[in-house]
Amino acid sequence: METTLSLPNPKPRGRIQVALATVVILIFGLVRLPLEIRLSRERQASSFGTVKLDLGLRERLSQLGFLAALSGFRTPVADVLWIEAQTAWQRVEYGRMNFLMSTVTTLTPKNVNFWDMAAWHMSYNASVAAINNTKQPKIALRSKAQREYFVLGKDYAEHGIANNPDSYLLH
Amino acid sequence: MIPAISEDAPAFPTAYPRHRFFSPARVRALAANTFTELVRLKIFYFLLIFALLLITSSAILIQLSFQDQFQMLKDVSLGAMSIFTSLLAILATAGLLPKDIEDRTLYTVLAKPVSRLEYLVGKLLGVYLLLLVSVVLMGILFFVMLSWRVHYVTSEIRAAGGSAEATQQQIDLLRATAYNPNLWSGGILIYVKACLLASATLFVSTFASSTIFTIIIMVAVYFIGNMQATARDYWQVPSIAGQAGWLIKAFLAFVSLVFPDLQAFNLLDEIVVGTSVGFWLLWKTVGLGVLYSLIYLSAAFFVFSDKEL
Repeated sequence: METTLSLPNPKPRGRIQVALATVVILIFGLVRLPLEIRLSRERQASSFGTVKLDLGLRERLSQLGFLAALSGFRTPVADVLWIEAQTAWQRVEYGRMNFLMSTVTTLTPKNVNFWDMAAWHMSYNASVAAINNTKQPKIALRSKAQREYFVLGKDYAEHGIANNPDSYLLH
Repeated sequence: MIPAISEDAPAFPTAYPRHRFFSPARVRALAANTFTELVRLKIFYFLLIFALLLITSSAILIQLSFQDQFQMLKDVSLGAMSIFTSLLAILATAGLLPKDIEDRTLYTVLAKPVSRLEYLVGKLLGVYLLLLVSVVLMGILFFVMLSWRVHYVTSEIRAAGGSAEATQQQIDLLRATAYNPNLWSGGILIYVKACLLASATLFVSTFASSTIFTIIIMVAVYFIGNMQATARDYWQVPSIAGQAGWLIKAFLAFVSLVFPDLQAFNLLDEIVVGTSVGFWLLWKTVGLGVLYSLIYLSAAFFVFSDKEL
């Protein structure tokens, strides 16, 4: 009589194990959720993670810049934009400078230096440049532009104070 | 001369030391071996790029005021430390298992009395050691560059002249701006985040079909992990979650529960500007990182323990 040797079929255990591991991670997720929420509140109470990356910021940053900001590299992105703002200052492009400084201060609201410098640039340099702008023949319009830059500078200082109430530098 | 065997001595030893399921000595040997292997891959060459980045950024920032340049030097250095360490964690870990399978080293190791848990823990500890050495070396480079800049600016202030009191005040302010004791906390958080990523990569590599698959998945995990906190907030806020359909809610819940919250470790932005991390906040964050690493290691063992090799 001929006998045949039959081997058991290998069980597809690999996928089951991965699925079970995912379930374990999901259960761990449920356990850690309250811890993470509590930790997140503690961070916000200690002035960490107060920046909200929203659509407004996306419109002002390039796609790559926004992606970098999302990945936890907000301050290096802000630094690059700040250097761009310095270049805009040297080219006497105060409108672009204001746009860049507004983005920088939104990205790093806890950096008092940026608020301070932005307020100074707008109130002093930009306002003086506006009143001395020879391309604008009407003195009334120059004066209007100067007043607008004063207001912008004051806004930077006030927003800086609101974001950093413990710092004396902006008062 | 061969010593005489006592007649009372048994022909064979009767009591062998019992094999232990988990031996720290075996794990240490595996970790040391993994570390040596990774060092031989010339991984530390990236430190040259890091040094070059520091020197270049330092040269570019020279036109700014000293508060700004120290601020930016710290931003760039810590940002680069964070990205280099995270990349190193993912790339070094992703290749461990496939390389051992390809070289047949895995079979040699597992044919010995080494459990799969010991193997995984040993490999992971080797990567942790590599990450620690990298963070420390980058930290030293950063400190050297910062000290050099402080020295340079101090000598400029002294050369500018002025009253001794005013000069000293300026130098004191400069040193206070440059040296921030909270930077240590930043280094610790960078390391913990990298360890978490290494553990998650090890877990993915236990079921991944190739190294490139593991790397792609982990890059995706990195980006999603940075947005996990946002997804969690949307999922938890009733006014927002109330408007969303069940599919969106299920998706937000999945992201919140499966992916790690990497935003929890991104405190560098505030640390650089001088915000101090409280003792308990720091250690709770470190604890969360350790917990994540343990869970991912357990999941990796769960999959690897029964894997057909």
